[in-house]
Amino acid sequence: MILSSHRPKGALALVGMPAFLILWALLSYSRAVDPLLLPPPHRVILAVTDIGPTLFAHFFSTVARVAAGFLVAVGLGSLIGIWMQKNWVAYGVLDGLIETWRPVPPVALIPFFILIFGFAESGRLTLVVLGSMLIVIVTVVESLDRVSPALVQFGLVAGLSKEDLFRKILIPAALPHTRAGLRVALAACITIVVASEFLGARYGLGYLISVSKVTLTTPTIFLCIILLGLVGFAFDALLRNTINRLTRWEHSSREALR
Amino acid sequence: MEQRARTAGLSAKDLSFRYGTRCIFEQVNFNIPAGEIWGLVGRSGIGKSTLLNIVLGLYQPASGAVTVGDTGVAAPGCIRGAVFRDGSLLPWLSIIDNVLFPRRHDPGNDEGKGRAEALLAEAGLRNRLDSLPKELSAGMAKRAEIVRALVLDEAYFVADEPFLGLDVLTRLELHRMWMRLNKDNRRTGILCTHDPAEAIALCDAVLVMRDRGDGVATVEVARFPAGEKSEDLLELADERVKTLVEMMGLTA
Repeated sequence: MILSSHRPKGALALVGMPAFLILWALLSYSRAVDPLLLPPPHRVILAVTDIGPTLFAHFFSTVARVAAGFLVAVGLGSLIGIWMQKNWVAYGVLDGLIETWRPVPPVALIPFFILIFGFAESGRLTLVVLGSMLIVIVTVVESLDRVSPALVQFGLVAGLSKEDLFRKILIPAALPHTRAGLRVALAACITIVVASEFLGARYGLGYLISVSKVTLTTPTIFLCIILLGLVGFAFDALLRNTINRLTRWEHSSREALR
Repeated sequence: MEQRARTAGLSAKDLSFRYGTRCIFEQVNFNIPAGEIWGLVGRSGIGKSTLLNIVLGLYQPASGAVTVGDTGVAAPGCIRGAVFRDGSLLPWLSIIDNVLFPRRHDPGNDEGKGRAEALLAEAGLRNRLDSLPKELSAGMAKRAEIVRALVLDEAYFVADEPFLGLDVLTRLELHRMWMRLNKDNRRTGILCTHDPAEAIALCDAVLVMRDRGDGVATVEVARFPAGEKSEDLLELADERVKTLVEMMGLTA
């Protein structure tokens, strides 16, 4: 796909959304699909007033869990990833462990976590951090490994210590390579937050979905799904923006395609 | 900046290097006197870059030793003035910060900063001090890298194909810049190049790396009498080449 500032990207985004809304409205108002399964758009908007102010509590609980979980996952994951690249013993020991844990869906661990933590918030946070941190670790290890050897050789010849080589050369040089991995980790973080809220949370969009499922309140479920989409979009935009700001010096193929 | 005795040369004794079980070169001996830059030529893949990496302390030889002044090279950092074949400017730092690296935040480095700015100005980068590497042409980036190597080390200089891939005008300008910048404080070192004319024009002697007949390389020294040494690549060129270069507009 060619992305360019001359092409009306923003305008194109405005085409996709209304097209989806129109299709949705057609399917539900024409009763082609049972309105109980596919509530019409106006019912979903009315769900906001049905739920009342507690909707904010649910919404912000989820937002807070995503923010806290992702920040801790990035912080811890970066430290572990850097440590693995710095220390071959750490790499040897942790690499196998991480690669055997990574294919295990974090959601599969929920019953186990309930046994250990009960329904405490700390259990949910641990699950979220664990799930997205593994992606962050792999991202950081691979990004550090992709740094041009010429930069590393220059650093060594310039007399940098191993500590300074990481701090002054490897970490800044690896930053642009972490983009894709961190975005994937963020999406995983949101997924695990919602799944963790299905079990034992008192607030949260995931919790709201799980109770509405019992009462067959499909408009609320749809509302939550839309809000989750917005949460994901906003967090991703924030992350992309932050990395863009930090890596303004980097070449981008978008510049070349202008 | 570290100052070493001007009398300190750069020598190698019985150097050999193996890549796995394959012997790349053997019996490499040279003794570069202080203040001389020697060229390093040889067919591609023969081990020129490997030899430079050993001189810089980045690789360990299978046997033998490199001596800088009176210190044996055991780890990188002994010779700091190096230009690498692949660009090694740090892309997130401005040109001046690259040249001052790793002392750019050092408050006691005002003198170094002044010197770096003066050298960059002399290299024709006066207006590009705050540019990022991606905003420079290939020739400008090489200039900045050479200046950085000169600032990092006042006594030694090792360069691996620093003029590779540059057009003839840019190369001539860079040669002249290099000669000008190195004149007052002549460094000791090695300049690896694929162009014999470049080695003759820029270097005091030439290390020729070649296969000794059994797939293992070794090094011979070619030295030209003082009168035969040329000071510029153009002096070695054919009249037709000179005419064309002048038509293109050599400025430096």
